[in-house]
Amino acid sequence: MSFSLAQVLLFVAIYLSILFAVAHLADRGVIPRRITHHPATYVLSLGVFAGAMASNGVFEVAHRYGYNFLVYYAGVVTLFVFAALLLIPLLRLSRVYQLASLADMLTFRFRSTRVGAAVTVAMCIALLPLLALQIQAVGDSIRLISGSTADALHPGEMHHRGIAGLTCLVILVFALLFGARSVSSAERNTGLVTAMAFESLVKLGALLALMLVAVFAVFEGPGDMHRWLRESPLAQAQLLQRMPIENAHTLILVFFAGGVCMPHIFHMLFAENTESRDLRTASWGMPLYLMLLSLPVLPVVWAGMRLESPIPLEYAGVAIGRYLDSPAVSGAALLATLSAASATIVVTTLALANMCLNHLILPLGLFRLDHESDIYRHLRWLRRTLITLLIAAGYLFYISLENRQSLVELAWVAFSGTLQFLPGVVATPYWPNANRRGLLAGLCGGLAFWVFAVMLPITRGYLPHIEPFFIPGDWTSDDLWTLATMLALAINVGLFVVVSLLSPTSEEERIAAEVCSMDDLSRPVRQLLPLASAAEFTELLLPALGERTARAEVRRALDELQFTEEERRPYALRRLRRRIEANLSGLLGPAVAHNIIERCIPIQAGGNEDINLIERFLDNSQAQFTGLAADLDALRRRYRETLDTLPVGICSMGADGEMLMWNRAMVAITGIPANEVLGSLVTSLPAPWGALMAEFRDGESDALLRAEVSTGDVQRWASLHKSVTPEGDSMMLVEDITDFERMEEELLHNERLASIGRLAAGVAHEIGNPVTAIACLAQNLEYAEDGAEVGATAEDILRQTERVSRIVDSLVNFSHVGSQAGDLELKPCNLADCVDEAVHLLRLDREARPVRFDNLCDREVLVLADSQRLLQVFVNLLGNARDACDEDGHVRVRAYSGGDRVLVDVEDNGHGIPVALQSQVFEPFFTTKEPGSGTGLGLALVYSIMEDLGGSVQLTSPLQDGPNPGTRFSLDLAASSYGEAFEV
Amino acid sequence: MYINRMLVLGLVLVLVSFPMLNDWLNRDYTAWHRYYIVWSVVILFTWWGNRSRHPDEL
Repeated sequence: MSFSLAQVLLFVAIYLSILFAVAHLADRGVIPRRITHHPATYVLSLGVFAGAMASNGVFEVAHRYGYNFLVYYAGVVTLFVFAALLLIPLLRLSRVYQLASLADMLTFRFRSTRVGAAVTVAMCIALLPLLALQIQAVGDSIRLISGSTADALHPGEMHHRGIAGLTCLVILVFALLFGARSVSSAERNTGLVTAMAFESLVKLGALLALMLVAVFAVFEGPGDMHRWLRESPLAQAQLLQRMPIENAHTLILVFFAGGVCMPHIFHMLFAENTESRDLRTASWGMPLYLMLLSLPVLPVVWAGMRLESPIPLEYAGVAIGRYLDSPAVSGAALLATLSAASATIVVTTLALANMCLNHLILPLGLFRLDHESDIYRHLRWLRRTLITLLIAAGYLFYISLENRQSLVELAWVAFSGTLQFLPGVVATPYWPNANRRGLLAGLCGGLAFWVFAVMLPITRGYLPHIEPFFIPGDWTSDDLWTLATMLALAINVGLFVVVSLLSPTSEEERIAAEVCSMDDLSRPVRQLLPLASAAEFTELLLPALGERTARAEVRRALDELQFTEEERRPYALRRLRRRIEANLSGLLGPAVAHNIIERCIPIQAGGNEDINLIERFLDNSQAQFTGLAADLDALRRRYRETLDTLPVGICSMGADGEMLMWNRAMVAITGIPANEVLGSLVTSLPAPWGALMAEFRDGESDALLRAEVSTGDVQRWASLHKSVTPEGDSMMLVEDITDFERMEEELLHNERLASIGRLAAGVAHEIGNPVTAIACLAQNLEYAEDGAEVGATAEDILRQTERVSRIVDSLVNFSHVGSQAGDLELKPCNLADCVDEAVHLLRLDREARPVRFDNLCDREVLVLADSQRLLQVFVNLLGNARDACDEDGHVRVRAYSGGDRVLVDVEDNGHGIPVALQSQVFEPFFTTKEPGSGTGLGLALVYSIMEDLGGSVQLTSPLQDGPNPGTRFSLDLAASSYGEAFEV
Repeated sequence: MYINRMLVLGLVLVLVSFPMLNDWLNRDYTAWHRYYIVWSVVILFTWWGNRSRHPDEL
């Protein structure tokens, strides 16, 4: 029983409609994401590798070479088993730089549009036989199922061509509908992936069904089949056939190369997948799938041999169906071929269309994009046009062959052609010294020889004349094809190596080589960009992309990175630039994308190593370190952790002000998270830190001992220290001294209260006298009759009252200092008045030793200070001086003006301070007085206040020889003037 | 460069066992299943070598 042609075509249309439905449902989300994005779906979609060669051609190989048919699978299995050596590095590259095709990758690596164009043209030529193979397999299957005899598969049959043409048309519709929908070739096309996975399942199911039919219907079970194998001379001859080992090795290499270089495999491997997890699954999943796919091969071939059908063994499934007169079996055979061929045609043309668009049409200016219109729509239509042209080219090539070649021969041409791209692919991660001249020379030489010795002879039906150059012998055609293929590869590799070594490599290529290198020796550089915010990207890209596209691409990159348009961090801007280039690379190809980005957003000269990026790489690679490298990494982590957990804030910044480090203590002190700081400029840090740290970094001083860093209502203080490397990078230590400052203020206040306590007796005496006088005057008033006398008495009372008020004011004024902690207000102060006030306060202490105070300061001298704190300084210094003196003690205060500074000396003729103790006198709680007579805080507070006032205090002792050598405290204060006083 | 020790081990095993394996495969021309046994071992070995990888360590 056979089908009519209409029935067969209806069958094809129904199958492809089901495929449309699967892809459509996957795109719409009807098929759950857990299925469409499952690693198994990805693995199955890679089954696109197994085209018509796997569904038909391999039967012929098994018939000719017995078990050696397995070399077809062995090449790809090797590729996936050792995925870590080639596929994973390539996936890393393609994922990071959005490289969707082999041409993209080689263009990126060798930084040349010519490389991309050459690879694209060569790939189109090499894959025409592959497209013709698929078309021929489907066309022949349809012809045989619809009742034609094997003789009908002759060349030039118009009917035959028509069937193949119709099939191409249906497949084209599918390719246009689901292949070219994504505007970016680097975006995952869920519908396509799911449909390809479905096709792989169908193909596998159909072949397994054929196997069961062969074993149980053609033979009478496994036992019968095994008996036939032992008894049949045909089977024995077939199974004992051996391919020469060198031919087998060549075939493994050829299919290995096909597994990574063929554009449809590359597309499914890298463009439709970005997860290394999926590729890891594929490293065992793909060999498993191929093993299942290969299981039916031998039983089906044996069944075909037993039937001794005139139909070529490539179509053994159809032969079994016709022998059993079973439409189901014939349908299964057609389904296997159709699913294999359609998947290969769709993905191959889609991938080639992207390559043509990105490496021929756009870079060579064959089509000008109108920036004012919708670039995305233009790209989509260009891609559809190219897919149509490519399928048409495949069909025309198929017609030109006139069915002279077997499927195996066509596959050999295509696979041996793609082998020529393997040197470039291997060099990408493994040979940094390779350059574009070498690659192009190798490709040209290898491909030229391949055209001369493989493609033309096979497609035109003659043997290559290469054997005279070698040892004469009994060369079979297989030997010649193998020899020609390996010669082409040898020419390719030889030229590639020699030209690469002899010709110069550009700096751009060298950088790209380092990026691609497995060793990744490059040090990421903090490139300087000519813009300050993310919003400026749109403006810069406008001339190249037009407003609409520029805005859309910047928005897309910002969304992907989760940045806002207000983003100003240099690190973030660099990432944004890279992301935009990667996205444009998926849209327009790496050459055009790189050109646009370099032109619109050029990198400025300079820049240092990007420590953050290096650290991130090291963190991500931790699991890969072994031995000494692991030890070094552990050491690095230990030091990093130490710096992170130090209780002192540590931050570092580059010479350009970019923050490179921000430890946990810095986060606690500033309240700013590290992720907001790292990569941003120091000047962009929130107030008050940005201005403070930038000023300190640019200043000459290495220390800032007390800086107010208040935020909101919370008062805080910090001390800063810095060091600068020869490269200009700065390291800062930041210590939170708020608690210390508060404690100091408290001590100051307590000391003041203690002073007031000591003055209390004197105060009582000072106030007691005028009060007594007032009382007497009030009594006299009772008896006064004369108005003048009353007036005079009242005047006396007022004078005494003023005296009391002045004493009370002095005390209140003095006691207020401590209650205004941290509220430092520098104003012009009259130095002599301040000293007078201090002397006045000290004289209130009646119990203290009476000494002579001489205020010798010029009455006109003004200093810039907080008057109350300066008063505290003089009270402490003069009080100490008095306590150090004998009965005839003499304390002098002198002031010297010089420029913008005023030097004040407080000298006494007391017993002096021993040299051994001088280094400790400014320390808190250090005192030489008797226990209970001093707190040891006086000079410590003097030191602290002088620092707060921007001045200093120095001690000199002894001043002279003798029993009373004396001591001098010299205060250095900022001078002020009357002008400033009036302004105040 | 990071060297996957499982891969190195696999390569060494293949190299060492190849002559013995080849002999065993060719001893009986009807024992087609032996090729698939070897293939299954390769798959298991690869699965085992990839089972504990971090999901996205690229």
